[in-house]
Amino acid sequence: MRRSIGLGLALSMLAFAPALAAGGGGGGGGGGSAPSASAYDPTADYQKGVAAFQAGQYKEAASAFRKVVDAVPRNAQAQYMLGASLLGAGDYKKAVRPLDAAVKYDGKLIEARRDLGVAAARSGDTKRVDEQLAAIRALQAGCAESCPDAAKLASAIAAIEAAQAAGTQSSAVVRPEVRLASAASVDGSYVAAVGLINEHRYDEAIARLDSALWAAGPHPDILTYLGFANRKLSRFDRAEDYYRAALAVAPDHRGALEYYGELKVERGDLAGARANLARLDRLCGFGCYEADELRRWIAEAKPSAG
Amino acid sequence: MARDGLFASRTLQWTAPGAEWAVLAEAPHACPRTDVVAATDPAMLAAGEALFNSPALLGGQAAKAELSCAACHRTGRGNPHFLMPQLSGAPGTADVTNSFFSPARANAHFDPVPIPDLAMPGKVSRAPGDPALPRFVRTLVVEEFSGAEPSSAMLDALSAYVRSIGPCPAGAAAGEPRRLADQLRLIELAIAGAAAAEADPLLRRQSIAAARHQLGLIDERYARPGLSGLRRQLLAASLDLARLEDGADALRKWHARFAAGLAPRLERRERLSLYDSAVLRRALAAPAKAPD
Repeated sequence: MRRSIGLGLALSMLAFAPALAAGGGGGGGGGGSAPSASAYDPTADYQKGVAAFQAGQYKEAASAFRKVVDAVPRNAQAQYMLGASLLGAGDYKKAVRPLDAAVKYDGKLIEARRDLGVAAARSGDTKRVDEQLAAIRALQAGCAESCPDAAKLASAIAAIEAAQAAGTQSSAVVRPEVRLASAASVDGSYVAAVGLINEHRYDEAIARLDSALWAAGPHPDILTYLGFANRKLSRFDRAEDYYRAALAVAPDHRGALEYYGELKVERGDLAGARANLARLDRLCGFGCYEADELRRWIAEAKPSAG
Repeated sequence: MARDGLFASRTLQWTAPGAEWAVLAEAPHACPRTDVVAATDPAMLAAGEALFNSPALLGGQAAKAELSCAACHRTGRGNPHFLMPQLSGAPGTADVTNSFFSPARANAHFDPVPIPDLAMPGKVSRAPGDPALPRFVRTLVVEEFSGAEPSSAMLDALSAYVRSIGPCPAGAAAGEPRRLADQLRLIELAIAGAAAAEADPLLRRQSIAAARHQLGLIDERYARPGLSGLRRQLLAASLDLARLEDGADALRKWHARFAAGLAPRLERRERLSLYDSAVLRRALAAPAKAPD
């Protein structure tokens, strides 16, 4: 029935809260929010996909990741993992589309640019190969040789150039290089990340949450705290993307609604913040901390917002 | 809010696997110290017990998880079944100096400690009038669990309740069945506390939040198909409470309406709810429904 931060404790996470059958029917919701009866948990398929990918069962992995992508098409990790699985299965042409989507939703995802370049090279799509090489070189130029991603960027260029040299007739199997933290480490990463956020160590928290996101998939709690940490670093656009991603997975996620509302207050969008609060009030018929907190933010913003 | 057919209990999120029945079906027996109760203002004691059972008292992650003081100290005692992944060692322990809850007392070590039974003497004096206990309670609320600054009346109320928690005499039953009456009693205490808090808007607001939380706990137990009408009435009662005007009269009238109307309707259907041991046993035996 439970036992992980991601699926149990999960604090603001409601859609996948533990629930006991009491006569058949709908979905659970704890003390506040009731998710829709057909709430889909993309993290379950994501983790199935990761297990299959790690076992080298790329077709099975692609099948699982495709379900995730169908549910949350703007999730760069899931799109990437689908593309990498298709690449591993030797389906280079089909790999291009999800890898394209991955770089569209996260232009700094080096692995996605690398594998898109490799898949394009194997498919004979020289235009895409050149685009990805140029994009990675641009990242390299902005990064300088000493930045943390320097080695990864150099290795990505080498991988694309090797695929380009091998050409479309090569029979060599492409093994996508993906390092995923174990699912068992997700709880620890999540708790540590929230602790780091409480200590205002946002960059470290983001690193932990990123690792958890790759291992767990698009879990709304993780996405919400990625939004929160980015917001505290004044990366408002990125924060908004994460909040919206969390709400795409779990539209009634109280934490995402609260923090997204706070972001709206910070941007001066009080009407938008009030809309989030109205939604929280509908979800929290018996009261909840998230609604109280957003109400306080709006009240404190009012005088200066005039 | 509950939905037809599923019992989504937050309590299970901090309950060790296998202990679901022990936590959902029974509660430790309460044996208040009669001398303390006799010497304490009943409204203060009522407010204290209501706040003790309300997650709104705490802040940050604890409040988001809907943890109240009573999550760890059931009926003011301990909770040998408390288990939060990464924050507990063995069941019944918690690392309260983890920055997950608050950075104020974080020590960067995983050092869960056994949750104490508050009926037993502790390191802080509980002597009547000794300010050590309210000071200690404030530290727990604000520093350990990121709660907002409580008013002095709130601290006095919580301290009064903690002082009243007593050990049970030898031979007394360790536990008793959990009933709808438990929640109805806590609602009554919360309203009494709020009604007596005219000079303290924070205590009033917190007491109302405590009453609404108890209505939510009843809602959880009336998850069965066919009880949706009662759940709608519970929600309406909660929203009425949230919109009440200032003053004790409005609170008393609300409670009079509740006690004469919805409470007896709930009591009449209690045997169909998850307060009923047979219904609960069936729910616990049924496999949890996976998301579609």
